[in-house]
Amino acid sequence: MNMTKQPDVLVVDDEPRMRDTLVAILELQGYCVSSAPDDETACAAVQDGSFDVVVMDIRMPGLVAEASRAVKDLSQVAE
Amino acid sequence: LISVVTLIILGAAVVASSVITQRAIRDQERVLLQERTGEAASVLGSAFAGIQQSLSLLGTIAGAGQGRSSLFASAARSALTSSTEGLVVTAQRGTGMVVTATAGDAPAVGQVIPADQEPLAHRALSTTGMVSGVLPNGSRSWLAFALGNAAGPGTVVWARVPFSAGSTAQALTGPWGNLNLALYLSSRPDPATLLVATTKNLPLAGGIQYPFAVGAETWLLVASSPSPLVGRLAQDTPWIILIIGVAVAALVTTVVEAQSRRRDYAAALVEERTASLRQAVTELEQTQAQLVRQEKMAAMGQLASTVGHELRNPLAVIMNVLYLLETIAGAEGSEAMLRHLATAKRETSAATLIVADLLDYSAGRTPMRAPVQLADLVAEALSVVPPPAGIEVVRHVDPDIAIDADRDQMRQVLLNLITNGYDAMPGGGILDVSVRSSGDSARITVSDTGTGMDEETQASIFTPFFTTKSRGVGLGLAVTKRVIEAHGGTISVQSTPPVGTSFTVTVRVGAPIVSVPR
Repeated sequence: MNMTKQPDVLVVDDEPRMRDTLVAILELQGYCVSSAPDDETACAAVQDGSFDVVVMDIRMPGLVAEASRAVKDLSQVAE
Repeated sequence: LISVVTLIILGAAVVASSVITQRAIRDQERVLLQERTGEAASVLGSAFAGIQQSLSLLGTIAGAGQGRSSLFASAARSALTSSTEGLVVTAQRGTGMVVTATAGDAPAVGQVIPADQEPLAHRALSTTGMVSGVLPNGSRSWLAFALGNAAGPGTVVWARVPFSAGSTAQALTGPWGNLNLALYLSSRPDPATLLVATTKNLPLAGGIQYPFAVGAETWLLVASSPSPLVGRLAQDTPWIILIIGVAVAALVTTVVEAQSRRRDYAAALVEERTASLRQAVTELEQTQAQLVRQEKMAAMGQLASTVGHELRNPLAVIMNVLYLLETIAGAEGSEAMLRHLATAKRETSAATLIVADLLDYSAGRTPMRAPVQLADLVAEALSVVPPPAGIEVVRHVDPDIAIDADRDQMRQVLLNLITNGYDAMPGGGILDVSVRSSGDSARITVSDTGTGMDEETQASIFTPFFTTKSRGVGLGLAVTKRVIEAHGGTISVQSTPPVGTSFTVTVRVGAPIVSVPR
């Protein structure tokens, strides 16, 4: 992991206020933060861009196994 | 008891009626015997009155035909009966009594009567009316009747009947055939004066004494009845009453007893049915109460779940915002702002804990069991909730005790018990956490030296939404109890105000933990 470059973080949460505050905190820490409101959008974002970290509400309504698999794939990508 | 009383009453009635009947029949027997005796006596009396009349008539004839004994003889012949042996007229001649007329088997005219007959003659002369007496006659006797002064002054008219004195006559036939009779020549039943009797068994037991006049004297007729005059059936009636009465009494008693037993049985049956009905009602009531309670709990769980879920995210957002504000305030160096934010965070954390309690209570998930090392778990819990100032924690934890349990849930249990202990000691104290092995169970005890609880509080502490704290919804111990019971364990409380409170959790020991290389 490149120490000079801050990791890219994807925040996935269906609660807009929760999502916003999480993004704000992480940005305050200096991370480069993107956000997604649901798992479909999140999956698309993971496929397209390269995120180092995904922060996801795993008890989100409508969460499907696909998302979990996507996260697993991501972890392989990270390796 | 009622049957015994019935038997006694009926028995007494039967005996009484039997006795009364017996007395009535005896009275009747007596009356009958008296009547019959009276009849016999009056017949005898009239017979002897006939003799007196005959003697008087013969005396008049003898007196009228002085010196003509043939006139007397022809008159006397008609008066002689089969039983009258002879008739004589005697007159006083000097010192002796001389026969002046005769008829039947009697001394001849001119004979002087024997001296032993003179007392009777003298008695006849000094008495108005006929006298009688027994005169000796060799081996036998005469019954002699004498009427004085009948054929002129100083004369005596005699009639004599041969008989054996004191003899036993043949039993009578006819109207008095069923009587035993004894005839006495005096007014008393003197054996010396017994003339004749129909039985040798004298004196007659229970006999009726009937005196009657014979000439100038009184004779006595005594009668008894060897067989009942009222008849055999009447005589037996008391016994018949007794036997039938006893049989009826026994029957009635049996019926009463049977009825009484039937009633007792029915009463017992009713009681039994009532008891089982009452029990059924009680069970129903308990079931209903339990249903209501379950319904209430379910509603509370629903409420807890809804409130928990609705508050969880807002609280998380608030915590995030507070964190952001804190960071910004820290950068700006605003001390007052940081202090206020710290207060807000603390209160939000407390609210978050309550929400966590609500969610724990409403979730009630099945334990996901795995071996849990209790020493580790205690250490972890105490590191999560370290003792506040003034409270000392003492540990007596046996190492290497593992239970088969849901680690997260058991951790929650320990956290609840430990924070309860802290809360019970606002003025400080000692919290003792011990884990000991007891047979195939592990015993976890969390004791405080706090204020303790009264019995009413102890009885309610495991009830959901019961709390004595100013803050909290009262779910901690309810969740704890549910978790422990889901693990097949038990939880109990022992509290002594103001010494302290001790919670004891007992959970079965699981298989020893197998060390796995990491």
